[in-house]
Order: sequence, then C-alpha cells, then structure tokens
Amino acid sequence: MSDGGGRARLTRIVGSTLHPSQWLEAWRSTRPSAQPKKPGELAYGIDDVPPPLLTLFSGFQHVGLVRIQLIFPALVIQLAELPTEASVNMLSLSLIALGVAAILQSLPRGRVGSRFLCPPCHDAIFLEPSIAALKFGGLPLVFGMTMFAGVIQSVLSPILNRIRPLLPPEIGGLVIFLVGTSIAAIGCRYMIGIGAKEPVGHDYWLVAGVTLMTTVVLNVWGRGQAKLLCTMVGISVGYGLAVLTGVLPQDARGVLSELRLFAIPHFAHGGWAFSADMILPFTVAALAVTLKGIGDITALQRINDAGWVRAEMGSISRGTLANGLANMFAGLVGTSGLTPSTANIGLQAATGVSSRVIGFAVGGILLVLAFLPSVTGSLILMPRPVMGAALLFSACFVLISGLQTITSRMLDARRTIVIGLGISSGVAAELIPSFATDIPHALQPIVSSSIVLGTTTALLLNGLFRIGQRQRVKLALDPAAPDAVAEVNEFFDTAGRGWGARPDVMVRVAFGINQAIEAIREHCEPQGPITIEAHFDEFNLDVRISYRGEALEFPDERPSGQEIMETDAGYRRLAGYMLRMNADRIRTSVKDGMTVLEFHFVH
Amino acid sequence: MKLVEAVAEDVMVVEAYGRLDSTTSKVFGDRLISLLQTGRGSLVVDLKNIAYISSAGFRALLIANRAAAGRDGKLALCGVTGEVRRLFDIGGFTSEFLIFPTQADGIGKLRP
Repeated sequence: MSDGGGRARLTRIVGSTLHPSQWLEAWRSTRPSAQPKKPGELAYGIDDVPPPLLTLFSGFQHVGLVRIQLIFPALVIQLAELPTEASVNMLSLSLIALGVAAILQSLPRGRVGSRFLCPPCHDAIFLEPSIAALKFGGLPLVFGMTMFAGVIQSVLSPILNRIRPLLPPEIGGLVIFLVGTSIAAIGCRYMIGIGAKEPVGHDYWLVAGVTLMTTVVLNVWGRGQAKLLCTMVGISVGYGLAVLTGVLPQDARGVLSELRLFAIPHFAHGGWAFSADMILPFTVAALAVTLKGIGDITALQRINDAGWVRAEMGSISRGTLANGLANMFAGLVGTSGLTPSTANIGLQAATGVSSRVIGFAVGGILLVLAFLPSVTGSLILMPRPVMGAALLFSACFVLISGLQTITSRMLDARRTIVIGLGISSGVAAELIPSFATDIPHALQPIVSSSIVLGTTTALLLNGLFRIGQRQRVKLALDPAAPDAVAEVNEFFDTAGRGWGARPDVMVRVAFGINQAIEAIREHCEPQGPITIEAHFDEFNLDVRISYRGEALEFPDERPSGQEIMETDAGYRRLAGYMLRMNADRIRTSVKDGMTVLEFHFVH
Repeated sequence: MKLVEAVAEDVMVVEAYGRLDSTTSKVFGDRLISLLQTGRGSLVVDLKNIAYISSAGFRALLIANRAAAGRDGKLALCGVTGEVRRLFDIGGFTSEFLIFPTQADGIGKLRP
C-alpha cells in the first residue's frame, strides 16, 4: 500500500538513475507523512473536539462496551467467593483502573499513551492465569502477578521493534486462538453446568440457551445500537429469565436490592503476593496482551489516517507502556489485568467518531461509575448459565480473529509446524488436564495452561527454526529458458512462505518480477543469465535484478494508447511505467556493463 | 493460455484463461481482431480467469479495442477483479475500456 501523494512525489523525484544521496532524499520524502490525513468517512478525527453532548453520548457508548467485559473480573471474584460487599468493591476498583487507563491512552503528548481514543477493557487473556493464581495463592497472588505482567509490558515497550522477528504475527494469531479455545471451554462448562455446586436442570439450560440465542440473533440480524450492545441485551434477558425461573436464587435477589446507590470504594485488600510458579503464565499473558495491543493500535492508526502505509511503532510503543502502567495500577488497587478494547475500536470505525477527547470522557464516566455499587453489583451475582453464554459468544469472535491473523501470512512447512504443534499442545492441555499432575512440579505452570503450553511450544519452535532461515535469497535465471516464468514464481512462492510474508505484498512482487523479466527479454537484449536477489525483513522487501543489457526506462507518465499500440518505444515505456507504479520505490543503475534494477516494497 | 468462445444473445463472448504476457498476447490479440472482423464488430472478453496480465496483454487489448471502434463496434471487458483490476488501475486503463462486472452485464450492453 502506498499513499497517493507519496507516489506523486516519487514520480517527480526518481529519475532513471539517481546518485545515492538523491536516492536517500527520495526515500525520505516518500516515507509516510508524520501528519496523518483524516479519512473522509470520519466525522470527528483524533484531534477534533466534538460538541459536549456528543462527547458525553459517545463516552457512554464506549463505557457500555467496556462494562460488558467486566464479566472477566466478575468471574474471578465469583470464584474467590468473597462477601458481596467486598466483591462489589473490587469491581469498583476495576472501574477506577479502567478509567485511569482510558485517560493514560488518550494523553496528547509525553512518553505514555497511544494518543488515540483507545479505551481499555478486561480481557479473557488474563482470565486463565488469574484463575490459576487464585487457586494457587488467592487474590493477593492475582493482584501481585497482574502488576508483574504490567512490568513485563513496560519493559517490552521500548524494544518492541527489535524483538518483532521473535514474535511473528502468526504466533500472535495462535495466542489469540488459544485464548478463544480457553474461553470457549469455560463458557461451555458454565452453560452445561459442569462444576456447578448443585445439580442443574432444564431451567438452567433454558437460561443459557435463551441468553446465547438472544445475543446471536441481535448480532446477526440486529442493527445500530441493538447490534453493538447485543451482549449486554443478551445478558439482561438471561438475567431476567434466571429471576423468573428461579435459577437466580432468592437470597441473591435480596443482596442485589440491598446494594447502595453511592459508596466510596476502599483500597484495603489482602495485599500482594508473588510466586515463581506464576511467572510463566503471566509473562505469556503479558506477551499476548502486547501482541494484541500492537494489532489494536495499528487498527486505530489505519482508521485515523487515510494515507496509512505501515504500523507506526512510536504510538504502539507508548500505547504498550500505557497498558503496562495501567496493569501495574490495576494490580496495585486490587483487580485483574487490562488490555486495549478491540470492540471499542470497531465502534469508532462504525460511528466515524474517533476524537481523543472522548477518551477523557470515557475515563471520567468510568471513575464516576466506580462510586455507584448498585450499577456494577449485578455483575457479581450473574447466574452461571448467563455468564457461560456470554463467554461462549465472545469466544466465537476471538477464535476467528486468531485464525484470520494466523492465515494473514504465507506459511511454509516450518511455520505450519510451529502453528500446528502450538495449537495441538494447547488443545491437549485443555483436553487432558490430568497430564499436568504426572510431570515435575516446576513444569506444571507450563503444562496446566493451554495458552501457556501452546505459546511456549510455538515460541521455542520459532526460535529453533530461525536457525538456518535465510532472509536473503538468490536465483540465476536463463532468460531464454521456456520455464523461466514458472521458475521465478516458484522461487518467490517458496521464499515468501519461508519469510512468512504478506500474500498481498508477494502478489505485487510476483507481478513486478514477471513484468521486469518480460521487459528485459523483449527490449533489453540480455546477454547471459539474469540474477535475482531478494532480501526480506518484517518491514521491507527488496528485490534486485542484475543483467548485461540495455537499461529500462521508468517514465513519470504513462505513454498514450497510440504510442503503446504503434511504437516499440511506447510499448517499452509502458512496461517501465507499470513497474514504477507497482513498487513502492524503484531505482536503476549501470555499473561495469551490468544493469541493476532495484525494487522496494513496504511490508 | 486458453480461449473459450461462445455466442450469447447474438453477442460474441470470449473467456480467456491463464496468463496474458509477451508469449501469449500475440495469439490472443490476433484472435480478438479476427473475431471482430468476421462477426458483428462487438465482443465481450471475460478476464475473470486471467491470473496475470502484463504490458503486452494491455497492448493487445488496446489494439482490439481500436479495431472494434474502427468497425463501429464495441469491446466490453468483464471479470476485471482482484489483481487484474489492480493492474488496470495502476496502468490507468480502467477508463479506457468498457468494463462490466459480469458477462451478462456486458452482453446486455452490446446486444444488438
């Protein structure tokens, strides 16, 4: 992808041959602009200030989505079996952490914050490690290890650019997929009633089924707010049915009615604990949140910049730091981990309102809600079948998001094995939990979690398979050979899979090389073989074609139809023009009789 | 490259398969010209099964387009999607041809 302005500048600047200093200047001037261009479909861009009423309304919309995700800390709180008042207080502390995180992400300057409207939410990524920590050391261990995850994220934030080869997108997709399987497993258990304190009956399954169906129907056939808030509506309907059928016990209803409208949250809790056994699960969670955050902030960049070309690592780095600090704060005040909220990013794309100011409104509303326990209390007593249905519904989207991320890259045998064994080991941990009890104690934190086992397997294999992985490949081609085209295409297909390159970029590369070889054969009278070299890193794909023969011309403007049809020069210049328009940068030079064409593709 | 020819509602339709490059475009272009000269002067060319089109393919299409216009006929293209569409766009050819989403649309437009 390239910006149109950049392309126009490119055509003015790059002649057929440039001095290295001119080339550098051209390269600089065609880089993405530091000033994003607001897309036409955005009513209020990142720096715009909407009217106060719209700001408030948008703020409530975002808070509505964030609030749904409170089911994750609510589930941890339920499992902790705290008294109702303490449970509601913990949710209020969650709201405070969420409010602070929303404001941190929206800060317009400084080293912290993505500078986007990037509301946070509680996320399933922290669910499994939090439940494990709860069983192992109670809530203090959950809080302490959440702080630890925040530290890991903060440490990673400045070096994200350098370690990206170790965390390729397909492994990010694998982590998301495993998170999906983990939530789906919990959701199914809750919906069916496995592990319930008392035997469940038809009413229980009815509540689960109606909650799920309501949510699905609104999501598939609903429109506007009904679609956006389908989970909240589904939960409300399920809740109502649970009251009517008696699935929600009478005493729970009494507790709900006793909750105060206003109360000041207190920060007194059982303290913080740390355990070496929990380091790995929370490190993997921190990595997963970081990978997810990279995707979320990249999506925000794309929404807010019509000329978006590639991920801008500055805002990703600051956003990761903000999320790390928010998680340290969340653990400090006494709640579980946070991530940027993907649903809220979708809301911005849907409404065209993406102003950073709304981030402050979201933060303010969340902080106010923290003082209203009656509003949040209902989540604590949410019936298990309702919670199970909501989790299973969320799992569908998480699973597919993971699969899409995995398949967004070309995968060779190595990468296929990394992902295949990662998924297999993760699913095995979910299906055969007894396996964990038969292995040494030190390895149990790895094996007992599907996310940790799957991710660890993939990361180790990825590291192993990087040995001998070539980022630079070379091919000598006989231009007269009848199978030259097939040879070139197979060469780049193999290389692309080995690199895990984006298929859309490799399609452009394939056209460029095919067109260049064709043009050289037809117009340049090549003597001897044509040498093709390609070099890849996560951000750049450079191809260099060397041959003995005449240089091609890359004109600024396309020759006219008449020139193309009637003159060889017009036909030849069309090939050069197509090559120029296909690549992000192009350069040609002649040295010692060798003509060298260099194509650069942004990856 | 393979060409499949048919007549639908009195309009000649050519479905092209494979690659339109410097080795195949000559045969392709000559066949289009021949059909235009022997038929009614109008032709629908379906490119949905074309995997690759280079400058040679565009040249052949331009020549066929001019031949159709010279006989007061029309050349309509359809199935211009995906990568082929991108190449039409970057080459600035989208506005130079009559392009329809489907064969049926092209036939409907060229029907005598």
